[in-house]
Amino acid sequence: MTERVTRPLPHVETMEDLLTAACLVEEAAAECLQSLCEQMEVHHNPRMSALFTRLADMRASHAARILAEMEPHWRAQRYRRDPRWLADACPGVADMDEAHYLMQPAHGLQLAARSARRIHDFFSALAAAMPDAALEQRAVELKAQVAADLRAIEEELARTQSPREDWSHDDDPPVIQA
Amino acid sequence: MSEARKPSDYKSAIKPIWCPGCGDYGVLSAITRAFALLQLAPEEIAVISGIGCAARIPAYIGAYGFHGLHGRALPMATGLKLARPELTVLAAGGDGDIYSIGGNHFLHACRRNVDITLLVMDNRIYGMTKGQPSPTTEPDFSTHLYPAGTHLQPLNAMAIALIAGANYVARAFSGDPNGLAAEIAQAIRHPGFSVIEILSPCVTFRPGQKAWKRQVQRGALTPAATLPEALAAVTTGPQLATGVVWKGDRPPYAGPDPAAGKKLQDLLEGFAP
Repeated sequence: MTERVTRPLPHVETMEDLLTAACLVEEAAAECLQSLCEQMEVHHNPRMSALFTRLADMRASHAARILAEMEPHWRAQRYRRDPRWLADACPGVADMDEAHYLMQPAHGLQLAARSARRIHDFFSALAAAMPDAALEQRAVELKAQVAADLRAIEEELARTQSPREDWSHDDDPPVIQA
Repeated sequence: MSEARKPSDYKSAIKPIWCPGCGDYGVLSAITRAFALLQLAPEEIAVISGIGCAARIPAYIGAYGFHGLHGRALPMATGLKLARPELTVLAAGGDGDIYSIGGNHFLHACRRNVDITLLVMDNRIYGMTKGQPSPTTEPDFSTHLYPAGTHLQPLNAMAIALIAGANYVARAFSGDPNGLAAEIAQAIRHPGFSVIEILSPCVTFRPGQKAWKRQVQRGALTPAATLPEALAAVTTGPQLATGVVWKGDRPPYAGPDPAAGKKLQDLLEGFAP
């Protein structure tokens, strides 16, 4: 499921490195979910738009908390790092190609769960690679926060009706070639 | 220290109307990340396009933009860069817009080597007009117009860019937003005409392209030492290899010699009534 190829973990030596990585991951995930929200709004799927807004807010609130913890000059520097420092495919970025204008809440929750799981795995790997106890402790806290989100998403998914088999049927579809 | 510009600072208030799942969303995100990496002032950026799904991109970027005629992104971008050299000028479009309708301009933009960055979102189909074969469509790909395929050789635009004189040539993937952002920033920094061919899946008319995320060979292209080596990499190498294949050192064209302009002015004044 998490088939994307990523480069090795970013080189983290300081609290600035760790919080920068965490903030960039959460911000990218929030941006991606916000984009999905807008896609659904534009394509007249208000139920999914509302769901993606809620999921984006979840990630954005974590980003805001991390940002508040960062020194002002760390914040200013975070976008000046080469984006490849973090990873090839940002862990929190959802599989955008799975979006569909008729998608159902279960699809959105599955997509968000995969994104949260990748963030969790990323923090988990970071925690294992930290050079000192303070950094490891903070990475473990970040991991625990995402684990809580993941549980909440999975619980909601369990309560959500599975999509009908013909969920993508459209009486007036685009002309699919071939 | 003042707050740095964020990627979201480079987005406009207009929401994209691409199909959900379109690769162009990833390109838009990467462009804004590249601008944030370079910390460019929005008023010093211009994004110029022609027509097509990909060519809608200037509307979604919070900078100067021009959505012009089909195939004409490059002449407009060239004129703008020569008139306002202080601007960072990007041209953007799809494979049909840039390689077919704008094919002639593509050749001469490479040859002129004006300091512009061209982003070609290649999905190997005309998406906006509902799925006709483009210059990069595979010969056996079946469409309503060509049920048995076109049997035409796809255009190898990267090879053409190299031969015609582009100073920076790369291929990237829309599903790799961090890598793409870094490549766009690098292309903007590199002097002269830079071309990035971006594999950007059309999930509506080419749903099979969703497999690209598993097939793309990230970083398989590396800067070649010589032009023949670069050509070999893009002609005989894997079609879904990404990376920078050429970083040339040809000086960019910055317009006619000012002395020539003076002579022209003298000539015009000589004919003035």
